[in-house]
Amino acid sequence: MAHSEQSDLPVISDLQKFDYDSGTFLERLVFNHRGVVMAICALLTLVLGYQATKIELKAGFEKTLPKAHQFVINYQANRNELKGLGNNLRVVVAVKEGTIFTSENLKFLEEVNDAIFFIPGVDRNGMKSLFTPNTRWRVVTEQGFEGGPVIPGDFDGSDRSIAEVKRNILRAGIMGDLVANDEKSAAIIIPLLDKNPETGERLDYSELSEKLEDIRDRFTEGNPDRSIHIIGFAKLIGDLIDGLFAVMAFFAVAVIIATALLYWYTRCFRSTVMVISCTLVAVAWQLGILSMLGYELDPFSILVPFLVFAIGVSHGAQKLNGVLQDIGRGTHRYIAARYTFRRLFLAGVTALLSDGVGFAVLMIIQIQVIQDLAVTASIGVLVLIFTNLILIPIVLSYTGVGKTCAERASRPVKSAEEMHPLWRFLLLFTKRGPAAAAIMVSVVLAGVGIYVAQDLQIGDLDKGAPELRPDSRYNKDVAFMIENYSVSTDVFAIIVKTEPDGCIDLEGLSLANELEWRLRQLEGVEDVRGLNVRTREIMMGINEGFPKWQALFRNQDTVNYAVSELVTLEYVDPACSIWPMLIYLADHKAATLERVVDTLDEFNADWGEIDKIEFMGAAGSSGFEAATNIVVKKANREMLFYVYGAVILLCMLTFRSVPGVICAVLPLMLTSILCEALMVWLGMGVKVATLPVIALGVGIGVDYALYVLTVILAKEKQGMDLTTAYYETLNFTGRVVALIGVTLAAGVITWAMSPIKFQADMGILLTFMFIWNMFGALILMPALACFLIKPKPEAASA
Amino acid sequence: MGIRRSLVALCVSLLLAPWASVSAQKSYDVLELPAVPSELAAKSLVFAIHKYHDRYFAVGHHGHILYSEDGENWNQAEVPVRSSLLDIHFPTPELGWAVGHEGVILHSADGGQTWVKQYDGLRYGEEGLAFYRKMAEENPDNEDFPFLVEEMEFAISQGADKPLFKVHFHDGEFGHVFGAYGMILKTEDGGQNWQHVLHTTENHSFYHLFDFAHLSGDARFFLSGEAGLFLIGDARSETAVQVESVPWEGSFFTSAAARDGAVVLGGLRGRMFRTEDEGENWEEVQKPPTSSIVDSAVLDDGRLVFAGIAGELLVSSDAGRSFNFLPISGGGRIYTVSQGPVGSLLVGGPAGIKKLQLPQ
Repeated sequence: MAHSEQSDLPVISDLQKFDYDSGTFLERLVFNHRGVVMAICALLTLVLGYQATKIELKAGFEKTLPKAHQFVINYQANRNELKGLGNNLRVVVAVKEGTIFTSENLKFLEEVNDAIFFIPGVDRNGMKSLFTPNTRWRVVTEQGFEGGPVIPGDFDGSDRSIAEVKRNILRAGIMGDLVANDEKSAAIIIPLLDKNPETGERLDYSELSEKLEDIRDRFTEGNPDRSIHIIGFAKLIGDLIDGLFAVMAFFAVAVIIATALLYWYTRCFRSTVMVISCTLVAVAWQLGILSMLGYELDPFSILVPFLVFAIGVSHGAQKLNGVLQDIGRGTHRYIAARYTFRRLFLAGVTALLSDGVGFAVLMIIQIQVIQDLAVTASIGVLVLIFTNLILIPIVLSYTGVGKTCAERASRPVKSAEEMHPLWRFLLLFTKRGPAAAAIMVSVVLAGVGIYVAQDLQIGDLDKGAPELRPDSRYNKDVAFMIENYSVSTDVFAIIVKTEPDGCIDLEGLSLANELEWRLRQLEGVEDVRGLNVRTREIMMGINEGFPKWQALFRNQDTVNYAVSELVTLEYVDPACSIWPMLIYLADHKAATLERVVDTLDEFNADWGEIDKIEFMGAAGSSGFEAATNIVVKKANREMLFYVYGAVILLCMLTFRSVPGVICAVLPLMLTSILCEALMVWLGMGVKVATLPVIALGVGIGVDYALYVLTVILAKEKQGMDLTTAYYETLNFTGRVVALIGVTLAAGVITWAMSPIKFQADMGILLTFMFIWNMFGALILMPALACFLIKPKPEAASA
Repeated sequence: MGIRRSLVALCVSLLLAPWASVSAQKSYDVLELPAVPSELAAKSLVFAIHKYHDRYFAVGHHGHILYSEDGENWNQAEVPVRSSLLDIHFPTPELGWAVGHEGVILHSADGGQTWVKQYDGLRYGEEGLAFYRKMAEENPDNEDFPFLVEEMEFAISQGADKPLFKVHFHDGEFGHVFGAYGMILKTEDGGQNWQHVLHTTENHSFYHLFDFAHLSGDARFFLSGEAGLFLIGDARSETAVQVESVPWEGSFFTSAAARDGAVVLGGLRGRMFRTEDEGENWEEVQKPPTSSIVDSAVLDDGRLVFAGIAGELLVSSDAGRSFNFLPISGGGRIYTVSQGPVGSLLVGGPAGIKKLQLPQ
């Protein structure tokens, strides 16, 4: 009698009458030794929970690079020699009233300068501001050169002193660099060391960022006239880590929402707490395992606990549902738990594995953070098999459920007259007319979606650091810098490589000029800097600054002199063989980056034959973005191909029916199309963060189809017409589908509030996909089934 | 049949083309590569702007030559080199010459639309060596010629490293070019032949010759250069004589001849000097302090405008005795200044050409 999962198991209220040797080997192993299993789980929770507390938060930047792309390979191979890409912070001290050139305001600048000077990890010799001794002016005179520090040794804050400083600033040519063009602010440029010299440990960006915030607060608090603006890679990472802590707080919100939903569904306090706790145990195990395996939580993988929690709760709810119904019918809680395990373990494993397919497909993308996401999420799903498919039934076998809610769950199915209006609405779509209407609307939606999605961009579209929101403090500071200083934060670096001592070769430098000229013709290129540009400027400088000398004239001695000055300034490595050509861009839109990459490719096609000098992509934030865009664009299509391939295969195995596969997959495709259209409307481009969304959306979305369609197909096989079959399905798993959709959405919707922009984007898109897939499964799928799946008359007669 | 044969030849040559390119080592040489049309030419580095015969001309880096009727819309000329071009002159509406780095001399016979290369710095040493060897043989008593032979041997070893800063044609056939290390050449046949005239130029230290000024209708011209060098040339006698009385040793980057015959020189660190009597007497020009003065222009109304490299514009209404700031800014570095269309100035520099309205 226990051979068929469809057949109803007998109601046994007396434990004595239960056959302990019934069920599968696994069931007997687990339930006949449930005390041992509980003890093992408790021990594991202690050990892994402890490990979980040790997991580190990191906002690594290299992990987001597409490691197999040639640009990144080139960068990794030459990174030690590449100079001038330094890890700098830029701090700007600004006043709103008057100019920075008052005794008081200059003192403000000097104090901030000194405070920063003492932060561990700052390369103190390399710091540059009006108040550092390396900021000097120099003019050509009849006798040669004359110069001195911009702030003279006898500076006393008097008007005469300040006038001299202003004159020196003009002579030093640092307007727009160290002093804003509107004279309302001054900059401090702070190169950072890789290691904290006091401790010898790697520089902790989080701590550094905190110290900078302290300085910002200390010097601007209570003085609305003053502001301090800070940009630089280290600050960005610091802000991202702060963002990660904020996201962790959202986890609590997600737990509360899920708990409330589950309670609303079960009305059973005891079992709600139990399911939520077991799922939290899963999260703890997962984090513990990750910590033991040496993984860190980054801004991407921190989302996995949310997903695991949401998936866990929805599967837990199903187990609970089964137990509730059995107990309601009068079965003993131990036996009810066993029955549920017997009925649903295999289905649960299949569903979790199908989620796993969505994650596993992510492994094909050669970007470390996404692969890490795939691994961590897969571990999470494996853990769920233990905690939610085994632990939950066992715990339920001890605790049972509240009596009233058990009775409520096992109420007989209502008749068609008194059924819920929502059910009545959904059942409409099993009739030809409404089904055709639903399909027509879907076709129109798909048409509009495809039309809108043609404008889907690749890459990040907002100004400033794309990781953070456009209105974040950091991005406001970036905007301030761009407005007032001649700086751009979007830098594409071409790696220029020659033989040792080859950087002085005139033909090589001429080629660099040619490439530079081509790049300058491009829309979105604001400036190009590099050894060749500086060489031309120095050649003019050492010829009394007469402008007509500003060219790479063919005098090797002059070139040698110019380059030797530039080696000390780190424009080129000491071996005179590697230097970056820095392209400052107006934005980091994909089209802008593509123009740069295309120009580099064309240039290499024209002149690559000359092998004494090599121009390679790429480094710099924009260089990496260009590489990422190329990889992401390719991966976006590949991913769809693989994820749909996997889903179709899975459906084929489950349904063994082509119409069934079509019914299951078409609604998912509509969601994928609409998701792309939504991205266009919301101004999101395809990027590292949106890739997992599509895979997760489809991989988890197919769950609904599995639950709903399996039951419909089974009922139809029993000879029911579609409407009846669907009605039965809605009562059996349909309610759970709705619950799953809402729980999953609740898990991810909180991300929309994340200070980290791409997490917010992921949250919005995933919420959309989970909810829309739910509607697809409940409306479009029966509508399609209405036309595609014919009830089998022979089955009806059987 | 003829067509078929040429087709076969074409096919063969196409087949062989890859081999040909392998055997000929590819090299990048700005003297051999034509300038490329650029939408942004008027917005990129410009070294000189001039007005000739109601047309405006600008020269810049990467072989840019631009011409315009209104000083706002610029056309880019077809130029056979990618050298940085430093000066341009049109003695007639059709005939023009441009000079620049690598000692390049370009010529146009169609008002500036298309250009051919007449000369480059690689010829300078070779031709100079042959010429001065011959002169040394013919004039064994002259001590200058063996010295110039040595100088030309050195020039050959250096290659085309010397820029020509300035070109001036006295008519459609007779012209001079001037440049670095005292480089000076003349032509009497519209540039078909360029002759060395170092030996008739009193510049024994081979100082750079930066600028040229003259009064129209006068055969005399003035050359200003490095380290206080100031020469008065005579187009007829074909000599240039150094004025020794210059009260300063700094470089004169630019010079302008006022209508009253006075010459105003500007240069390093913003110093400016003026002489009314060809160097007998000098006065330092009254002016506010500025950065180095790098270019000048005589406006249509006779006023003089001098430009400081940091972007200062100075104007004089009294033939250069005193200068004041123009109340307009070039908005960035200025390398060159010129009369623009009615009531305006054209300035050029690293950010290209800008038209500035002159205050009345």
